[in-house]
Amino acid sequence: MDQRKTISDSELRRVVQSRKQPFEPAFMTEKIMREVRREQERMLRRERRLFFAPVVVATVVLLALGAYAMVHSSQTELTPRDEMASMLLVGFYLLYELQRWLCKKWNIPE
Amino acid sequence: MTHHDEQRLIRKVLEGNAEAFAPLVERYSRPIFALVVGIVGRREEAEELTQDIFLKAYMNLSSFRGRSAFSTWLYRIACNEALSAVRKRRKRLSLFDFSPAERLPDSPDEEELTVLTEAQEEALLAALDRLAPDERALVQLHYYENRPLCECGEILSISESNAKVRLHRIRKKLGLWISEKQ
Repeated sequence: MDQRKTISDSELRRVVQSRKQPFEPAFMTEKIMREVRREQERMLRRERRLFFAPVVVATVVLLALGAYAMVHSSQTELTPRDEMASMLLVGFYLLYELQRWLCKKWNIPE
Repeated sequence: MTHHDEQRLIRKVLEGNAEAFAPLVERYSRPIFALVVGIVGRREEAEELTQDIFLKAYMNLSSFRGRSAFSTWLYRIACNEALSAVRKRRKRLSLFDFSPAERLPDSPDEEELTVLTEAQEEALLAALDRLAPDERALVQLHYYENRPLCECGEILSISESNAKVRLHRIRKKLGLWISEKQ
């Protein structure tokens, strides 16, 4: 046979399409959807953690900031209220960044 | 299922309705399985990979921007996963690499085998399994799935002209292997 002969496009297509693999669509769909549902459960649990974690962290952080503000205000010219306000702003910004980071980490749309 | 139907289902999935993913799975599970089994060559592995591919698609659906068709995006994931699995498995290299076919000069008067005998057809089926995984991916996409070259290129992250050249080389290589077998 002449070595320069190339398989024609149409013949290759015909032979490739003649190869059939047995496949059970219903069984495969059910298997996949089982995994999808499991993943959905995992995502919901992550979202619940994502909601409660900042609330817990916020409480701790604000209490800590409040205590610091009360102690620190005696050493500066600012009133305790001003100290607390500036600390709260910093605190809220940190919480916002924390939530963004958690959303990215757990692949949850913000 | 139209493009509009797919977009509607994707929106529902992203809103939290996982069951809306089922029609997409039903629509694409068979062609994705056929593509994957064509690349990895093992049925059981292909079944597991098909599952992983759809799960990955579901988990990353929010990253699908709609710039390409959903099928193109899904096929891209499938090819990447299948090729990655083959690389990990360190499958046996093709006994004949690109070199023999590349050394054959491209001739405008190149003859083509337009009708195969039964023996040649059997030899061709065996030769297809000897192709490199990325070559098998291209063959499956273009000849089994009937995807146009531009789409094959998009799925495999190569240019359309590159896909055309590769397919030509694959056909030449297969012709060479069949002739060597006889």
